[in-house]
Amino acid sequence: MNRKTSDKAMMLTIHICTWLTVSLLVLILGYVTFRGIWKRSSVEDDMIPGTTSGFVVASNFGKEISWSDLRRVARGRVSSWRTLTGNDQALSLFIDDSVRPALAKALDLKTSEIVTTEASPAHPRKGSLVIASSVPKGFHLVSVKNMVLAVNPAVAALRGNQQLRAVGREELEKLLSGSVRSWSEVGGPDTPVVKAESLDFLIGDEGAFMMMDAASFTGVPEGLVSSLKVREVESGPNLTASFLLEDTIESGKYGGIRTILLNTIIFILLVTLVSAPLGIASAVYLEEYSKRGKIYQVVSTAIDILNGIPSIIFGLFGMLVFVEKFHWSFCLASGTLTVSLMVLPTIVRTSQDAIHTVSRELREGSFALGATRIETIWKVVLPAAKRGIVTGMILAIGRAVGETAALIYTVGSGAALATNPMMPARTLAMHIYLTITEGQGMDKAFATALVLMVLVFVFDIAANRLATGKEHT
Amino acid sequence: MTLVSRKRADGGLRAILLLTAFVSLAAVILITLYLFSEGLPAFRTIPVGEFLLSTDWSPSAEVPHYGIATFVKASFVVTLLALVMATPFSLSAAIYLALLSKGWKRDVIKTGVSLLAGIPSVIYGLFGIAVIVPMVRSIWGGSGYSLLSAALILAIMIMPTIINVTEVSLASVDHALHEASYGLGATRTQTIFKVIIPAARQGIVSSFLLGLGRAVGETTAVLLVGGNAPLAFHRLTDMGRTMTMNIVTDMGYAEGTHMQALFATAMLLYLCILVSNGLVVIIARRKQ
Amino acid sequence: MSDTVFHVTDLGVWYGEKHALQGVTVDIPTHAITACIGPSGCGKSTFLRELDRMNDLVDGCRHDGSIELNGQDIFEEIDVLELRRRVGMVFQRPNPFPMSIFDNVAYGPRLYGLRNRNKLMDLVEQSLRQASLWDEVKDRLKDSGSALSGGQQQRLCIARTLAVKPEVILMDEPTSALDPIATSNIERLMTELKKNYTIVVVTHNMQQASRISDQTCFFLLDEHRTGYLVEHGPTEELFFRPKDKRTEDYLSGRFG
Repeated sequence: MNRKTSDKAMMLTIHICTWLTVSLLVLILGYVTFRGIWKRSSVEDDMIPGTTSGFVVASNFGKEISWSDLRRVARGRVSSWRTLTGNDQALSLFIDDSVRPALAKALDLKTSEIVTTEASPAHPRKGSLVIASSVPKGFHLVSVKNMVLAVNPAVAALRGNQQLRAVGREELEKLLSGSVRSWSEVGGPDTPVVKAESLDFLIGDEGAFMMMDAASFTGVPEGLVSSLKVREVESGPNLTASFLLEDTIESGKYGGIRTILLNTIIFILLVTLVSAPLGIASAVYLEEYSKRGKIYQVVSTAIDILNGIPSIIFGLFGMLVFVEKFHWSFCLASGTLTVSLMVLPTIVRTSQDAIHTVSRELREGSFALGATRIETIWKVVLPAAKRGIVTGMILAIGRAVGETAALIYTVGSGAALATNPMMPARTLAMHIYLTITEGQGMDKAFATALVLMVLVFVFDIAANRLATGKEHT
Repeated sequence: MTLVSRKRADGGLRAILLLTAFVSLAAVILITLYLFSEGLPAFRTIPVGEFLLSTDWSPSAEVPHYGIATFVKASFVVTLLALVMATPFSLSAAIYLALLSKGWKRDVIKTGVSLLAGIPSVIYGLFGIAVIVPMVRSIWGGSGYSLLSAALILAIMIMPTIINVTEVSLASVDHALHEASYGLGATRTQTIFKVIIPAARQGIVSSFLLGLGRAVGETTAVLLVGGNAPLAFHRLTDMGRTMTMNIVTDMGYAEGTHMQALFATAMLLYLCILVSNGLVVIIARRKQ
Repeated sequence: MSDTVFHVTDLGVWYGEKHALQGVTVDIPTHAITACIGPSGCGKSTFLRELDRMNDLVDGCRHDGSIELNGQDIFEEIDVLELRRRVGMVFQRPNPFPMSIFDNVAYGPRLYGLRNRNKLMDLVEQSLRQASLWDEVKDRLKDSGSALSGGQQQRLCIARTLAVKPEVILMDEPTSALDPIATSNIERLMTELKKNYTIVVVTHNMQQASRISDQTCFFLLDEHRTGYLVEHGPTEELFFRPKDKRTEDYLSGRFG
């Protein structure tokens, strides 16, 4: 290959790699937007719907109920659909006496533990749940998720650093129909798949699995069997206006993010309030007052060091000082101060640059009129450096808004609106993190992520525009 | 306002400004102090050798052991891999921005890079779970939550850092060198790789050190895709736990020696960052 | 009122180790234009900046000798902020603040506590009239100062200086950045202004000095590269019957 060809090839490679980098951005943005707008998540469930024997569950409201929820309902513990489907709807329960024994057996309860109610509603209110021998008129069947994918403990064991925790719906079908030979095909150990017919078989064979009803499953002594979750894919619109306007219910399992959004805005305002004056004042000192001697070197180095410290260490520091030593506990104040320290170097550096570019002549013009140094800085230099300073602020805030590591152990996880700085205040980024780690479902996480990204990008683009727009006047 | 009052205001405010400048200094000193005062006591009960070299991390065992070697190894592996993967793309983008492009194309790439830099790490983690993990699972097997996934996500995250600093270094190479090379009949590739990059090598090395610092300190994104299993790993597709992941995971419930061990880990992390950033400064000084 | 504004005695200036100016003794007459001429770097600007203590802003600048403003030592007896109000300065490159025209002119008075909107308005109008700029900007006082042409900007800077009611106006090469028409506007303005103010102007344009000034000071560099005052006197005399051969050489173009 002669030089010209290899040159062209390398140039092409460089171009491709570069544009691939940007397409990464498009990919990430596009994906988050897509998932934010359209639900398409896998929901992993402990149990899948199965049949009930000796009774049916019917309702004029919800369509599905999990076994454990039904158990709580039967014991009279549930008065609202809130914890079942997320809707604030009162739940009226009616249990036909004739099905009590069957119900108790299915729920692994004593008949006496089941609450007494009217047999059937005269005028069924919305939100009624009926457990009877047949589906009454005007009601629909509620499917009960009471089947567990039980497996031999060897299938779900931790193998070194791997572990099979769930299978997809289609994979389950394949397992049931026998078209999967080895567990390794679905992410498990390399053991032959065996569909067990009895509990003993299940316990005995290392590759055995069986669909068990929940009551039987809970009856098995601990350690003899394990279970796998089943993944199903839901689709539908995700981020809606109501998501933004509703409050969180059950820590984000249901409901919207209204208060979290507000908390985030309050957080942004507070961080600005604390870090802007500090940062700009430091920059003014460094640029206008210091003689570039020892103090300047030391402070500059400190700022550079501060800039490189990872956020987790700020978080630990914040925890030690604000949460523990000041006894503020997890609250907005702790989180705000921690993050303000984090973004301080950014603000100082950009403000310094902006102040530096203000021309000497402008300053001299002010001094020549008899102004003091402070008057010159306040009335001439800072206004002239306004653009650069604000750009720096916006960049800093953009960084603060996406923070998690520094907030995990300082700002708390309360989702309610923080009306004073001593209350915990969950921000958008924290909510995403908690939604994922608490297993509340990816859809909510993506919807929140979309909101966060829009916020961050508004800041980014505003800063970009400010920075590159030249002074017209 | 009288002359006297104006002068007094001038003097007073000057003092206040000096104080604000010291806040940064105070912060660095305090952070160092707190970290060390919480972490050093760990070594009263844990032998330093065991801490650094043992792979046995079992804080809740009957006889607890606090060896973080696995986590150090994991941090090391993930960071190195991320740097290696990020290099060709970062270098290309930096060369493109500094030397090969102008006008709207350059603006697009520049904006793209700065937007990439602005994406919060939790969203990178989310993207990782939704896209990278399944991809790794289907290509290489395993659960997908792995050191490899962590390295992939980290590679994307540190690209803007490396690109920005490298771009500046490349652009500041004296144009006389460009002309000398072309004047001798060299191609673009030869000029870039044999003249410009070597001339900018100090800045490029700095950029990689900065990227390293960023990668080593990343917590949220790796936590979400790395699997977080504290056992020794043998393959890249195994789950792993880095130093940062260890700190964040256990801090919620640790007490006593366990907590001290976590702070000692934080200390080690802090020292690593100081060293790598310190190297950057030394390199910059040597340039002058 | 005496006819001398500044009484300078044996003034010397150092920037760190560099001896920039030495042994300057001269009287600056009231209500007149005094021009300082000489080749580049011979201390003219240094001398000018001593008169309003702008050199205080330069690190490591020292002086010896004395300067009196109307009988008071400007270093010992007058507060520097007050000095700068009484002795204003216009710079080589126009430097309007990034504010409106009105705010530029009102800047000085506001520093000294004038808040009354009407009084400010009167003062601004008066200053702009004196600077021959009022008619051109009276309808757009809210426009930014930097939106004006070079010559207008310089007149704005003059108006800004006039607004604090100085006694002396120092000008450091005020027209060197302007085109010929703007230059002649400024020169005309200076001749008007000297009726009410004392003007000291540094210029490297000899024709300008001979056109408008009443007194001229001629500076040169000695063999140690320190600036010094060669001779000074009424402009006509200095230009047509210079006492010093070096002055004659400079004026006839032998060097500088």
